[in-house]
Amino acid sequence: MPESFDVVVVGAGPAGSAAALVAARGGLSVCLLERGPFPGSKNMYGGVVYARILDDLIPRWWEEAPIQRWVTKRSTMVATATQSVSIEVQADAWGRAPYNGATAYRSEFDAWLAQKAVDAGAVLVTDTTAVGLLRGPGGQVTGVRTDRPDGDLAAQVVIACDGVNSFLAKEAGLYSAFDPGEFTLGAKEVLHLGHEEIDRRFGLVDRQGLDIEMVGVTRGIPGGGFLYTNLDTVAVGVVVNVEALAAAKVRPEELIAGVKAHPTIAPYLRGADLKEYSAHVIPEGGYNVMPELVTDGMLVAGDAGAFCLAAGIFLEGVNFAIGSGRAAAEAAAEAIGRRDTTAAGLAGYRRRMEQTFVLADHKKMRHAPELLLSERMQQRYAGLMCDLAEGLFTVTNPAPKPGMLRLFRTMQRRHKVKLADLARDGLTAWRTFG
Amino acid sequence: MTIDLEPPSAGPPAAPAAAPLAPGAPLPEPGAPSAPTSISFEDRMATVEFRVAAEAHITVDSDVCRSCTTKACVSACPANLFVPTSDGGVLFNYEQCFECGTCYLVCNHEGAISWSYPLGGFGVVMRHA
Amino acid sequence: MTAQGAAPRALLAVVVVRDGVLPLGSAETVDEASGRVLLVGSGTRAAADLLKGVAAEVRCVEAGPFAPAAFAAALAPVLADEPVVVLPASADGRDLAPRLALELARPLAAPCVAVTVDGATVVRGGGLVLEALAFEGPAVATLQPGSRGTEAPERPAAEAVELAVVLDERGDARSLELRQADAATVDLAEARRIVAGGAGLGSPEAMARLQAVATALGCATGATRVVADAGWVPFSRQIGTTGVVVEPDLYVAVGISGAVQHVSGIGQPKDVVAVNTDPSCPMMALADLALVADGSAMVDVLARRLQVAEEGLGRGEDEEGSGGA
Repeated sequence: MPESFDVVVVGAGPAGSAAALVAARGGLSVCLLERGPFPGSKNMYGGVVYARILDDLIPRWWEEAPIQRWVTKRSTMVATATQSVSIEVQADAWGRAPYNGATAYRSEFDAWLAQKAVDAGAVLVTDTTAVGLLRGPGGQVTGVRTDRPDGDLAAQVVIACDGVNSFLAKEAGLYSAFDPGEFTLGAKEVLHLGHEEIDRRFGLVDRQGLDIEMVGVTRGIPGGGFLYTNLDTVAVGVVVNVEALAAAKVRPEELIAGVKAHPTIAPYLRGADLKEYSAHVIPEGGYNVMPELVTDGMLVAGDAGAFCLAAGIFLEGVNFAIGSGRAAAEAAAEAIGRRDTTAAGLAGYRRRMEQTFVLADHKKMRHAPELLLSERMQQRYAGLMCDLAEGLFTVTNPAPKPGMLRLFRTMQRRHKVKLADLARDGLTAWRTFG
Repeated sequence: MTIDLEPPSAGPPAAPAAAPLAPGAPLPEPGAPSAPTSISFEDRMATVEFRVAAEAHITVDSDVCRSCTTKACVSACPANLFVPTSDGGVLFNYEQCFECGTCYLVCNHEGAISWSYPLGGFGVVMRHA
Repeated sequence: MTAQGAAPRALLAVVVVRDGVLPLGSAETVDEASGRVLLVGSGTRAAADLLKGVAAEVRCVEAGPFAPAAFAAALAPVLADEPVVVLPASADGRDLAPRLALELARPLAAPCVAVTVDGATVVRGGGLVLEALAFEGPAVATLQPGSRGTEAPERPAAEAVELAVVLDERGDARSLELRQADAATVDLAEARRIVAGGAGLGSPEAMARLQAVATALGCATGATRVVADAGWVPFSRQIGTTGVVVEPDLYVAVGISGAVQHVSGIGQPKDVVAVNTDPSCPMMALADLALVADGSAMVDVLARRLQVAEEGLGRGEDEEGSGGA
C-alpha cells in the first residue's frame, strides 16, 4: 500500500466517510483510517439520522441504506416525576420517499457509508489508530503517524474526523482546553421487544418509527432522556452534562433506570430484555465553543469539530458530520488544485459551512444549550408546564373552571417563576428557534 | 449454596433482597419494590463485546488519587471501571472500557489519568448503538 | 504399524505421559488429530484410559522417565510416515517437539491454535497476531492449551496397541532430583488448586495476606487484571483473556466480581468457592459455595487460623515466576 496520499481522513464515521467519498470522487487519492475493527464499531448516538444531506451525494440513498425504521412520529416530552406534557407530531410524508429522519444501528449505517467511499476509490484501513501528526519544516501538517509499525502516512491534507475526544485537533493546538461543562455523557440501553410488539405498543405499522425526547427526567441533572424505536429493539437513554453528573455523584445507569421507570415510559418497556449497553460523550457547547477548524495542512470535521446540535427540540449530529465532512473534502480538493494547502488555502472550508446549514444552524441555535440546560428550563418550567396542563384538564366540580390566567398565576407562584425571567427566556427562545 | 456471613446491618440495609433476576427474566410490575436496576452490573457489561488488548490503554496513578477528595471518576464512569481502595487510592480496570472520555473530563487532578485509545482493532465493539 | 499401504492423510497427536498423568491440553490435541494418538513415557496405559471417548486409535510407548532427545530419536522412525505430528504445548510437549522436528528434518509450527494436515494457524507477537501457514511438506506442530476445547462426539473405545522402541543415551540432561512444585511458584497454568484475589480485597496488603493463606493451603495464587495493573501482583499471576488460562480442580475467588474477561480464563473447575459482599455478581452465581462476606476480613480470619504471616508480593517476583501462558 502506498504511504502517501492526497488526503488522509482519520476516522470512518459519517464525517470521515463523507469526506473520503467526496474526495475520491474528485479524483484524489484518499486513505480512510479507522481505529475500530469496522466503521461504526466505536460510534453511538441517541439516535435519529436526518440524511437529507445525502440526496445529491447518494441518489435515492433510502433504497439501500441500512435503516431500522423511518421516524414518522416524534415527540417532545416535558416531565416531572409523576406527570408529563408531550407534543407529538406525526406526518405521513415522513413515512415515504424521500423520508425525513430514520433510526439505524451505527455499526450498519457507518459501515455502509464507508463502503460507498471505498466504491468511489478510497482506501479503507481499519484496526489502525492515528496516534499523532507528522509535521513539515514550517510546522505544517504533512500526514499522520499510526500505531502500525512503519505506519506513517503522508498527505497533502489531513481531515481529522476522529471524534469528540479528537487527539489530532488537540495536538494541532486547535482546542484550547477541555471544559467538562461543555460535554454531555450519553448512556443508552438497547432493549429487545420484537418487531410486532413494538408496532403494537407504539402504534406503528411495519417500518414506521417513533422518537421521544424528554426533559425533566434526569433527577435535576441538566440534560434529557430519549427513546427511539429500531426494527425489533427499543433504545432508551439519557444525555447529561458531564460536570453536573460528577457533582451529583449519581451513576449513569441509575439515571437510565429512572427514565425507564417514569410512569409515561414504563408501560412501553415492560418485559424488555437488555440487548446492549453503551456510552459515548457528546460535544454540546455549540457555536460558542467550537475549536478552530483549519490549520496548515489540516481540517477538522464531525464531532471532532464539535458539530453536534443539542438544542432541546432539535437533536442532530450525523447530518452535521456528513455536511462538514463533505465541505472539508471540497475545500481540500480546491486547495490541492491550487497547490496551497496552508490555512489560507483551506479557508474555503469555513466559508462553505457558513453558507450552508452546518454553521448557520449552529450559530442560530448558539444560545439553545444554555437555555435548555438551565435550572429554570429543566426544573421550574417543566413543573410549571406540567401543573398548568394537569390543572387545565382536571375537572374540579362542583367548583367552576378556574380560568387559564388564574391557573397560570397559581402555578407560577408555586414554582417560583419570575415573569421577567419567563419573558427574557421567551425572547431568547424566539430568537433561537423563530 | 449461598451463605450470608455479613453481620446484620452494619450500615444502610442492602436493596430489598429479591432473588437476582437472570437476564431475560421479566421486569417486576411497576409499583412493585425492586432494586433500581434489576440486572447485575457485570451482566449488563456482558452484553457488550470487548476485544481486550494485552496492554492497558488508560492507566491511573493511584498515588495522585490519594489526595483527591471527590473521586468523581468512581460514580461518573458509565462502565464502573474505577474502584476506590481502602488506602485512598483508585484501582482502574481497562478491560471493559467504552473509551468515552468521561473520566479524563471529570478528573480534577493533573496526572492522575493517562488517557488514550486502545491499539487499533481493540477495545469496545458496539453493534446496536 | 508403520508404512502398511498408503500413509493416511491424518494428523497424529504425540503426548508425553509422566506416571500415568496427562499434561494440559492433551484431550484437545487428540481431538484435533481426530482421535489418533501416540502416548510416550511412563504409565501410558493408564493415560490411555483417561482419554476414553476422545481417542480412537491409541499407541502406547512405555519408555520410562522423560528424556526428550532419546525419545525424539527413538520415535523418529515410527513417525516418519506421518505427514503432520502435533503435540500439546505443555512443558514436555514444548521440549519434545523441536527435537522431533530436528530428528525428522521438518519445520516446526509452534504454538498454534489450529492444526490440519495442510496447514496451521500460528500465534505470533505474543498473542497479538494469528498467521495462517500452509505446510509445504511434512511438519511438526504444537497446539496451545485452551485453543479449542474438546467437542468430539464420543468416539468408540480403542484398543491400545503397545509399541516397543529402543532408547539410547542421547545427551539428555540427567535428572538429579524431582522436587514437588512449590505452591507459591508453580506454573499457574498447571496448578490444580488456585486461590485468586480481585479488587474487592481493597488493598495490596490484603492481597499479600491472601498469597500467604493460599500457600499455607497448598494452592497457587491468582489474580484479576485490575489488581495486576495496580501492581499488587506480578502479571504472571493474572488469570483471564489477557493473562494465564488455567484448568484447576478447585478455584477460590476472593473479592472478584466475575466479569467475563476473568471468568473466561478459569476453565471448568470441579469446585468453585466465591467470597464477595455482592451476592448477585456472576462469580457468586457460578460458585458451588458462595460466601457473602468481606474478602479482606475473610482472608484475615483464615490467616489467623492458619497462623501465617504476610508474604512479600511485588513486581520483583516476576523474574523468578515460572512460565505463564
